[in-house]
Order: sequence, then C-alpha cells, then structure tokens
Amino acid sequence: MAGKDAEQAQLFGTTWVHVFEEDSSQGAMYRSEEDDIPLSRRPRERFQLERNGVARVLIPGPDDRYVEQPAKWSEDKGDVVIRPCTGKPSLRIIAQSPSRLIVRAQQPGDS
Amino acid sequence: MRTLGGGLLGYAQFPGGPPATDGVVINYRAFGTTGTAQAPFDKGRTATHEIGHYFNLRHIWADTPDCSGSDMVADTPNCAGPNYGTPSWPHITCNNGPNGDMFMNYMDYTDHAAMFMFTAQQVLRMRTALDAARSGLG
Repeated sequence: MAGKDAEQAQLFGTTWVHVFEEDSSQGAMYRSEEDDIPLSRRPRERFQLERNGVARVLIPGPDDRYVEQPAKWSEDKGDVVIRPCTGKPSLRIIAQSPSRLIVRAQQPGDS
Repeated sequence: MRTLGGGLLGYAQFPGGPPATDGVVINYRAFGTTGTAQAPFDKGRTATHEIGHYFNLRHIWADTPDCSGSDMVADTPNCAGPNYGTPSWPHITCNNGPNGDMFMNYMDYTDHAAMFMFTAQQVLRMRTALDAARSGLG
C-alpha cells in the first residue's frame, strides 16, 4: 500500500515531459521534468495532474512559452486517463515507474 | 532564478504582454557558443530566435498545422510546419516551390548550423517594434 501511495505522490507532484526519442511500440515515454532531458527544438508536450481530477496539458505557444490546455483525469480500468477539454486525443497512462510513464494517445471512443 | 527544465531551449514574450512576464529566457545549455552551450544549439541562435519573438516576429509556419496561417511577413514563403535538424533543400510545402520552406530562417526550428538569415521584411517588422512597443529600449 505504501508503494502505491508513493507512486501516486510521484504522479501528482511531477511535471511529466514527452521524451519522444524514447517512444516505443508500447507508447510514448514521459519523464519527470527534473530528469536530464535532451535539448530539443521540437516541442515537448507536458502535463501535470492534481489529486482533485484536474489536469493541465502544456503545449508550446507562438512565442515558445508553454500554454495551458485545461483537462481532466479519471481512472478507467485501473489506468489514469487524461482527457483534454479541447477535444484532442486522451492520454492513457499504461505503465509507471518513479520517474517514467508510458502513455498511449487514444481517440474519443477508443478503449 | 531556476534552471529551465524539460529540454526547453528558451522562450520570449511578444510586445504588448504583461510587464511582469516580459523578456527573453534562454536555457544556459543553448546559450552562446562556448562553455555550457551544447551542440546542435551552440551557435548562439537560440537568443537570435527568441529575441526575434521579443521584437514581434512569428514562426515562419505561423503555428498552424497546415497552410492556413501567416507570420505577417510578406517575404517569407508560406509553409506547413516547423523544420527540424538540418533539412535537405528544397523542402516544398504549401505550393512554395521551387525554393520551398525557408528553413534557414532564424524563426524556424532547425539546428543552429542550418539557420543563418532574417528577411528584409522581418528586419522591418523588428525595426517597427523598436520604434513603437519596444521604444523604451533606445
């Protein structure tokens, strides 16, 4: 139980950054912003989760600053699923370790 | 002061935004040409790009995922999206042949070694910002 609590604390206390260089057939790799993430001009999508079901998806804007897109998260079949309010694809977290997440994008209606 | 995390090179603010967040921010790993600067972002072009935003320049693909946008500069060809790395010339999108995307422009997303120019109209747009919204600098 303590492990699950620690896992959740890490999930909520972290800004997760898409490290596309490490994507695989399993899904997209997200790592903690605090990790040594390679420099990239290709924008890296980020997200943050709060315990109350609020999520923030951050994408680079026209002046390269991150712009927040409102989103919500909920549990679905044991996975955390982030649903942007913009109608963009949802993000399903299918695996988690202390500093890494594997995430699959899914269109509305996909399971 | 804090480290710019997540691999982000830098960002800026267009003229006319809130004073509290105005300015240019650049990752120390992508700043300058020596010391902490890391390839392929070690030719000082991060500052050039971000200061371009500070003086009111948009990305040359206008931040739209297609050919519908405009960077509000007449002499940069319309293009479909950002270019990365060191592209092969020409990269034609949005019927912009024969020369294609101006990926050597400082306001694209290519590696520093691949970018080397502003256009005359971009320079004019920056001068206009210097004469108006950024006139306090002079």
